[in-house]
Amino acid sequence: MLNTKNLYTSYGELSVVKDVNINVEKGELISLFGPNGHGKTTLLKTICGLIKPKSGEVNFNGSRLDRMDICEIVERGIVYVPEDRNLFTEMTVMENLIMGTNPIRARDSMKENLDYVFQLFPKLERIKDQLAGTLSGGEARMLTVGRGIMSNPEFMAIDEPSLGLAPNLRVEVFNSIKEIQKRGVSVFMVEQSTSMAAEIADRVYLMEEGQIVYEGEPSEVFSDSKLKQVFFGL
Amino acid sequence: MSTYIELLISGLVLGSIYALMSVGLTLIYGITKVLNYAQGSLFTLTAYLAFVFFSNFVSMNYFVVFFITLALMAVIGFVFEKIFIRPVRRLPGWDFTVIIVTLGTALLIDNLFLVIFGPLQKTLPRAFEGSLVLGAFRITKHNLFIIVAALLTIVILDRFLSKTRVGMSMRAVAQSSEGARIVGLDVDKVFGYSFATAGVLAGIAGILLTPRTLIYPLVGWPVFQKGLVVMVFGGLGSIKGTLYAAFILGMVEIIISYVFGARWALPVFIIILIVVLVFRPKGLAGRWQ
Repeated sequence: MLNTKNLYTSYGELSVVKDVNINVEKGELISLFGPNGHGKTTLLKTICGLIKPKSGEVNFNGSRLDRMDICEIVERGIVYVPEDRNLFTEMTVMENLIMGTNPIRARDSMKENLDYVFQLFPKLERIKDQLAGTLSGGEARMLTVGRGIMSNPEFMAIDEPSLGLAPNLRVEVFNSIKEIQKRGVSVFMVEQSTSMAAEIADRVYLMEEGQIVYEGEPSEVFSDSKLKQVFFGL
Repeated sequence: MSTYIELLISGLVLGSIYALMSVGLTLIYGITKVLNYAQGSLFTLTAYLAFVFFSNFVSMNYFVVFFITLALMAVIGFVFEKIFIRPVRRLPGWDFTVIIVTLGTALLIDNLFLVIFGPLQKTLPRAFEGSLVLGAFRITKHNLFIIVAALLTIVILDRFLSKTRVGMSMRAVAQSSEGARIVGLDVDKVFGYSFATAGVLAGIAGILLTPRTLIYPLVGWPVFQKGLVVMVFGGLGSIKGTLYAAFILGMVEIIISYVFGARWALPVFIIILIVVLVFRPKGLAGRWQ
């Protein structure tokens, strides 16, 4: 479905992503862990076309994403759900969701996806006429994920979905991500140290200093005290 | 009493023109962060285009010329962005460079007018001739047309920005360029649409005002200068603030012209600009970024 081959990304002379090889199968939920500032977000943005790689490949269903511009990448069903929201703050919740349907591939299934978003996050329906700039952190996070769903994605790259959320909201957000996976969408999620992100994942990666240093199944991580320490600081 | 009502109407007419000019400027600034010094030249270009149509196709209906010219201005605005702005935006320090580019383009266009049409003034026909007498005061039909056309344009623009996919895309890019890329918007195209829209707004202002002022190569500059003051007074990037500011300053200009003479209008505008920048740099709507 999606894989990277010897992917390098740099900011000027500074290499941030180094020789990264990952793969995500259709309908799989992958969690990528790692300390802050070690290149996780840059990797996600490179996969989704927001940053051009220095070298290497990003392949999706046999096509080279690294050679496409972001409009074409989104049109292919790849969506990035940013950690820092990037919502349209002076537009309503509904308008933000409509903006998610910008890809032509999302237009026909707009009504169906909107119903699904409101089923996943009932609160969004209640506040659909509220300006996005007035939302709480949890509501804004739901809207960012909802906007991603509206693009009718095949692959969602979600950046730190639990960041800044209260524990009960984290559970809600992670449950919704699991629901999205059940719909057949592949999810590649970045987290820093939330064990719940590993519990719901099919596989996990650990990234340090721009390189993938571990790949395995969550059960391996939970059964190994050393790995638990590295992943979650437990 | 009728004098005051006529002053009020004149203020509304000027406010309408400034609204069209400055909303175009603020729309471009809000979306692309470009201060377009060539907006006045687009105003002049419309007037000359309409003049060419009226001169060569004498029997052509006023409104046919009106809409053909506006359609051309939309295309010109889009192409202007593509040729002059887009390449500059990819350069480091583009936000300063682009000011020089738009200023240089304005000078180029204005001098082309001088070469092609000469320095002599040209005239444009009015939409309607004659006046309406309503009780104690009278208003020319063309002035009434200016007010109605400007208000109608503002309502259509509001609907366009809030209800159409292109309009919403323009607002989205203005609010978060990164967010717009994430949802797959072609930001370059949206910038082009913004310049096309601003071209149409400058065009409407140009066709409406120049029958009153006559056409000459630099006719757009005073309107641009005042539009700039209106935009800063209203709050950069805020359409609502700009509309309030346009009608307030339209009234101020008429009162200043009536009391002290028309030559004092621009100096007073500049004083207002300085006072606003010192005491309320965010403008009326408070959206300075």
